[in-house]
Amino acid sequence: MKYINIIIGLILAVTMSAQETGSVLIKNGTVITITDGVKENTDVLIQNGKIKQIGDNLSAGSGVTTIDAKGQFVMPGIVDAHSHIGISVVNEATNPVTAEVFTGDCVNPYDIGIYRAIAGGTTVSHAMHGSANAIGGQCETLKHRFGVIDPEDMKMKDAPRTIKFALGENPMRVHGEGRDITPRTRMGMEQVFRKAFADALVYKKDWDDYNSGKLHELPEYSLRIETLVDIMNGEIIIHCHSYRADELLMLMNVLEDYGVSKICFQHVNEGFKVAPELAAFGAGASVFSDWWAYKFEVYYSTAYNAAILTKNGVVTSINSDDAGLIRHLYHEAAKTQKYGGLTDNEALRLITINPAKQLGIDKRVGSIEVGKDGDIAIFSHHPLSIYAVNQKTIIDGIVRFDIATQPNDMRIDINPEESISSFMEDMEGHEDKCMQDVFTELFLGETHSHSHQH
Amino acid sequence: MRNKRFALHGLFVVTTMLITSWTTNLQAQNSNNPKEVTATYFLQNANIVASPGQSSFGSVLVKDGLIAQVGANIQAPYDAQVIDMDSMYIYAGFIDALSHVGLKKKDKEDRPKVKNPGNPPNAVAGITPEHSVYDDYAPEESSIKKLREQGYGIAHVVPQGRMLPGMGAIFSLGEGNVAELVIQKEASMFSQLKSANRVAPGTTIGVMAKYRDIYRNAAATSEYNSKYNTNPAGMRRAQPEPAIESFVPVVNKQLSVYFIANSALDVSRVIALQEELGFKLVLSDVEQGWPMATKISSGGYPLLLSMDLPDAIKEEKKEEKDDSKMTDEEKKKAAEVKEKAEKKKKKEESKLSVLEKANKKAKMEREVRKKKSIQEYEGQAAMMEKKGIKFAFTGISTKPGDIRKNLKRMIDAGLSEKTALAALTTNAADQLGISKIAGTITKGKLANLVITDKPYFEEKSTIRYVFVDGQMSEMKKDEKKGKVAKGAGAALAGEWNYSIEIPGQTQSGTIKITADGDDLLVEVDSADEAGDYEDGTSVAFTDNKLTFDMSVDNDGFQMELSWDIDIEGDTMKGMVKAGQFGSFPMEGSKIPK
Repeated sequence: MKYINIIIGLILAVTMSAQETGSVLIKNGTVITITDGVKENTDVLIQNGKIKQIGDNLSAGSGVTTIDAKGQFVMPGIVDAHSHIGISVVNEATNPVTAEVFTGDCVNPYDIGIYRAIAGGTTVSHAMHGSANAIGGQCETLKHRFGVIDPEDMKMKDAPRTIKFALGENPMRVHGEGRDITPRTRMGMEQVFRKAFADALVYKKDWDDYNSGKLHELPEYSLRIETLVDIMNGEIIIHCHSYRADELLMLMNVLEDYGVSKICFQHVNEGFKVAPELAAFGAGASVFSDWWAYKFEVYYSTAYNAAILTKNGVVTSINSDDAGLIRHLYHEAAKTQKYGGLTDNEALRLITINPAKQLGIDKRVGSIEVGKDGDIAIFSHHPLSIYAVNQKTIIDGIVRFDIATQPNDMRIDINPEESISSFMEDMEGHEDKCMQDVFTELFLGETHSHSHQH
Repeated sequence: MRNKRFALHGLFVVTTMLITSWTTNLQAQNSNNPKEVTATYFLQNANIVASPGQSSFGSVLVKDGLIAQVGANIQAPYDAQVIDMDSMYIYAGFIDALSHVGLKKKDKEDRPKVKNPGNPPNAVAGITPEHSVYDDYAPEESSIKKLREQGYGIAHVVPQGRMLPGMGAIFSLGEGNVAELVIQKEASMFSQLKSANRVAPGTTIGVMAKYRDIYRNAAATSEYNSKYNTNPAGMRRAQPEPAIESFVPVVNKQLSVYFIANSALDVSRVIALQEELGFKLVLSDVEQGWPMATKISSGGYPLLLSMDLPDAIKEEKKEEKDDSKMTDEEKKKAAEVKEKAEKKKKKEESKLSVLEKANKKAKMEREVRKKKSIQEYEGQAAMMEKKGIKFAFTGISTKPGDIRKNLKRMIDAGLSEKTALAALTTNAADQLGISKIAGTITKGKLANLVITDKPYFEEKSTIRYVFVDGQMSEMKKDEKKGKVAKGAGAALAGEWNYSIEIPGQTQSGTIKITADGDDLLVEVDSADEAGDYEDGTSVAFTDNKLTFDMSVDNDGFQMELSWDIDIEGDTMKGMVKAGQFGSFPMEGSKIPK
């Protein structure tokens, strides 16, 4: 019976057109809007993928599914500003600057991690390039439309372009230690950024001169430098892997010199030390709730980081960077109530509207407001309660996760030559991916096994 | 224009060189083949499948490498060698739409010593679009003979490598030198999403970014050149590197890009690149194309399906005796045994914990899904046919020996024989732009023919003759089987374990020996690829000594093994000679039934 469901599901998925949307009416829930308070016994109507109405006694047209959410909690789909699920490649670690590559080229909609993420109410994730390079690749913002077959349908079209930067030990180790080139130190890190932006200015001038007839030979086209020019033109939001206060200040100085302002720092474990400076620059901060001391540069941190940043006016989010954590970001947000005493709304903003702002998609997701995307998670208890269990996840008005009806085996793409040995074999996807695809053996001589290397 | 010029040039070469190639071939005749005494053959009384779905009874006259006449009422000229086909079946020679046949296996790459992995030399990065496979093709390679024996007369060969290995060429699979055999020289640009070895581009995203970079540089160069050609005053000559310059015909759509896209995700990625850049794309070696069928169809992309398939699940044969032949007592006994076994099974099941039961159930469910997945791969060609998507076959990742077996599985999954044949002949010819000279049995086309004793797709039909450019190869029907004295084979028959002592390692596997009357058939597999049997040739068994030869294809690397084994009862002991690598001791024992 279960397989029949899957087969029907697959047929539906295949025949679904791109960006398929649905209509659904959620009745009598406790609606946590994030931006407009909490509304008891309230209905939310989603029509053709968008939130049409929020109110009492709403009725839907015929044929629209109605969900009874009495006694349950209706919140906007959770947004994760830092993740590596749903992509087949994370690091192009061959150069300190690889602005030309794009994780969106390698979206894998069959990744079971996406299903597990929606089972935890996470509907949008930022599929980031890794942290091997000072200037890494461009990243893709994914909508977790699990069940679609075509990678293009997993992308959140119209989301602004983003790019990964990385400071500190990872790029220093891969390129400096591994290949004996800049950056080997934090001083060198700064010069990599300065040189990249300086190159971009020369490149831009060459092409401007060529196009206006001042230059008489064809300049070389470079997708890498084109991308750097786009950053300087404000077309791309930087998301920068970072830990220490000194390096945060360093990068803000560099960006100021080159007129770049759109940046969100990632991890930013010492962010609490320079919170006013971050706020003044307008930089975002996307942090772990209580995870640090996994390597030297992250020894100094605190579980109060998110609360301190929030209280200082920094747009702050809590991210997963992990296929496991992405399944319960609501727990992670709740920790800020123990460490820092944030209110329910402040805590939930960390995993909804704030990460949406950091990704430039807050006009579409991150809160329950009329006109926004119909992305909803319905919890059995208040999402900040330890007893909360996600019941249904809706994306663009389509129920993509339903705890009551879905079968155990939700894989889409079955390897026809897989060896079937035991229950536990499908446990891949739990390892940390921030340094995935880095050829450690090339740079360090031997293969090092490494676990958490954020 | 460029393409056409080469096509005509290639044809000219083939037709004028054919005559000289006969004479050279007569002298350098392969000792396996009977000596040719005439270049004219009259194949009479045959079922002629002139094109897919069209067959008639008659004769074919082959003269000077071309099909001179086809029909029911034609006469053999005085100088023709007449071969009575005795109602055998003649098909047009098959065409491999994309292949690495005839290329020497590349030496194992050393880890590249590159100063800057972020900017390696193009050759290390796998970016050599200026390279032509014409310079690699080696007519003496045994892979050509193997493909020819499967009925192939023409292959579109592309160079080996990584992201952009170079340009492909169309070759006749006959014998001769490269200049004689080439049909079209710079026929295509070959591309893969294959990253470089620990240097840039080191991943698929690196490859895709680099592809855009090269394409846009070539586009800028092309634009600059045309401006320069109109009025060079005030402009410096463009000096692009060879890789960029050779990519200009791709930008200008003069060369089609044959892009490997095995999986559904790779199909989607390659299509995304095409939509963005606009080159002429041929989706190649597609193994899992059905999830993207709508996209393939609406984009109108030419499609080359892989003939490779996932391993089939071996069905366990239930050995149940025919009870009609049993006596009552035997029946009773059998029933008792059966009942006992079932009781035992139930008892064991009742002992399982909840977790073990769930585990067992989950495993069974996974088996079901795996089986269904295999069926989808087998059904790909049938599904494309049903959707009206035209395709040709490529053998680029298929062992020649698996081709017929896999075609059979596709036909069992619903593919029509007509479309299967078209994918091997007419569709491939159309795709390669050679349908004027190949693909059907038509007067004036190249005399490339496959002759089988039964219809090609029928089980147990064997290929008896293959003609390429009018050159005939006769397949020895019993090449695989050795003659033995009556009854001697019966003692050998069965499965044997073997192990070969190679310094530093032990290679082991199974030898299957089947005795069929006086004939002896030997098949060998290895533990690494259990169940993937290679046939022994020149099998002989005398004085308790079993000898046979075997040709192993290891990723395109051919190795000839000669086995020399003494049999004593249920044990074997001997030597295996592996070409220039030397001889290694082996031993084995019979697996009790």
